[in-house]
Amino acid sequence: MNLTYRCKHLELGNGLTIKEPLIPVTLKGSNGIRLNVTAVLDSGSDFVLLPLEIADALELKYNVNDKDTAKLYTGTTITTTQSSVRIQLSKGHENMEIECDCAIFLEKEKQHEHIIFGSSFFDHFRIHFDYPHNRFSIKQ
Amino acid sequence: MNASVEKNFNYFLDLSFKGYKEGEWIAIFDRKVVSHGNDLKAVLASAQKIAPISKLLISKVKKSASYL
Repeated sequence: MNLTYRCKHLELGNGLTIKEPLIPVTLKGSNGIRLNVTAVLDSGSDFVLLPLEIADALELKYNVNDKDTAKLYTGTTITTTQSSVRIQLSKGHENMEIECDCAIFLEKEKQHEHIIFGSSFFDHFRIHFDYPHNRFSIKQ
Repeated sequence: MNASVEKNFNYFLDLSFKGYKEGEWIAIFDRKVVSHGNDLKAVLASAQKIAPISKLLISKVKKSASYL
């Protein structure tokens, strides 16, 4: 199974345009709750990272007292906790679903990024980036 | 994921985010941003008055480069 996506172009306002590997996915939580969201592929991140608001909307189970610390690129420390989430990818008639470990980002006021799909997502797939042709593909 | 969400994702790929603030949540339905704001709960509640949650695509506004 092979899902191919085109990159999102983001104009930075100074004549520069960057490309982002964003995908649409359905996250499945407790009690049949589903949310269709976009997520950015980031092989440099160690986990799937979900904002607290998304985890709560999905009613994911987590222990707010069982905290971990993680570091951003700048060295800034953030607080997370562990959980897991079911992720469905589909396009046309193609469909893939996985259960994935995730970290929940507990500090709402610092959240300005997309949902991040890091190493714990990459573990399930072979991912090929073809930025010169403005596309990337995910194979299981 | 249904066909309407795929269409909404294609709309999202071409969306410039003009008129929206960085970091805001946005809810897309029928190739339109139907709700936006900083509080996801409020964005979902507002959007669900227009469409069922299964047909919404939720994303965030990003306007600057990032180094994750």
